[in-house]
Amino acid sequence: MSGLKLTNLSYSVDGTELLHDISFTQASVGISAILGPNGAGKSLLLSLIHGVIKPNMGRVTWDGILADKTKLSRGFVFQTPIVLRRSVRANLAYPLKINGQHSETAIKAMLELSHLTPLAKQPAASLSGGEAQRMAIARALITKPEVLLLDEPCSNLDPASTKLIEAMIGQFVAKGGSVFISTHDLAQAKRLADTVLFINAGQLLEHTAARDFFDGPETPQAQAYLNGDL
Amino acid sequence: MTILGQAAELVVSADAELIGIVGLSLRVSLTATLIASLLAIPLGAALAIWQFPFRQILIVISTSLMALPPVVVGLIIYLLLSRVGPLGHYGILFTPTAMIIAQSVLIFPIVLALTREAILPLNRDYKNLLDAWDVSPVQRLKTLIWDARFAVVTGLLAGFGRALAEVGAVIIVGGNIAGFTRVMTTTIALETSKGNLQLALALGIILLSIAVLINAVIHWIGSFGSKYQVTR
Repeated sequence: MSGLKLTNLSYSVDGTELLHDISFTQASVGISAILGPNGAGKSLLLSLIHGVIKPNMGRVTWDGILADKTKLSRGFVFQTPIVLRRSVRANLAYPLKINGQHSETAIKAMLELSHLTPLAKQPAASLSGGEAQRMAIARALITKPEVLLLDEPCSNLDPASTKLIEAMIGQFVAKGGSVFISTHDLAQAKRLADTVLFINAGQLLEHTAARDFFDGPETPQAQAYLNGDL
Repeated sequence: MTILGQAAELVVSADAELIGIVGLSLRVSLTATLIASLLAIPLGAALAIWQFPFRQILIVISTSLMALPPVVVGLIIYLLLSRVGPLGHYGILFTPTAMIIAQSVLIFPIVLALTREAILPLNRDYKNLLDAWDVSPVQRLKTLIWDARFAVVTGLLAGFGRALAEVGAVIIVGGNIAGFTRVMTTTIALETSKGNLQLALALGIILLSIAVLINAVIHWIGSFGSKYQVTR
């Protein structure tokens, strides 16, 4: 597991501070859920943890190296799956191709993992929301990342699709991968998460074991969030 | 036999003069489309993807060039290629090469604008993903051009159609020399003025057929390409 460390991380856009002075370290293997109300900064925090966005202030490091220097060792899956205008198979092959690699075995394995083998030759645009999200996860996994970051991967998906995606996440974690997932689905967070990061209005209010968070959150904001009042 | 019948007979009998003119037209316009595309597609994509100094000026210039009258383009190229012009020593005025240059200049802004239009929204869609993978600038360019391929090819066909139908510039820089620089449009203009309507009409039929074919292909590409576009 790669060790994550955020040091006095802040992020502002046009003078508005969206994340404020966030610091924490995390070295454990498993699944971390980032929870918080709409607009709390979950997606932004996830992007900063990945390294796709650089912080205005503070640092994000993985094993002591700045996140944006090592982002290829982490996979990112966006809330709305970004579908390349190619076949499903070509979508999966793309991350390998841009790194000058090709592996039929890896493509086949990812098609099977995502249950998309029968649709391999179809234009990816023809996939349903759940299928497209599974393809996006498989595409993120094909380069064998150490960490997978998922931004609300199951929003607007039916229970069957959610179950398949959770199975993909579970298999990745079983092989030693670690996951950061932002979600509004508290039941999903309870099912999956080992650790919870609770943020509200750009501030990290809780960083604790998932069981402790759901059994008795420390902050009134987190309690209100769990009660559906925030 | 009516003029239309005589024209049709020229087409059906594959008249040698007619075939020569059509062949030259296609060769000139296809070459011009290829040359213009090699420059316009990467530049159009670059204008869609990146912010850089003088970008807005380039966009304004390229858009303005779309409205450039072909005869003006012909005149400018004539002046450049004429014996006293800066490129006169190449001796290419009144040759198919000069016509290719003129058509390339006319097509370039069309292909550039259509490529840019096709890639702008795609770049917005893909940006986060490509950033996350740290995709190199060259790879990003190739990816976006490939994924916008249907729209880009449609732009090429539109440019080709424009080149093939062009008369003003090619008549100035080509000279409309029989068997050497006489293409479909310039022949139609000349033969009509001479009253030789059979050949003019025969070429008109071919030109119209090619235009219909190009539009049919554009329509088919649009319909096929839409299968790859996310609509949700």
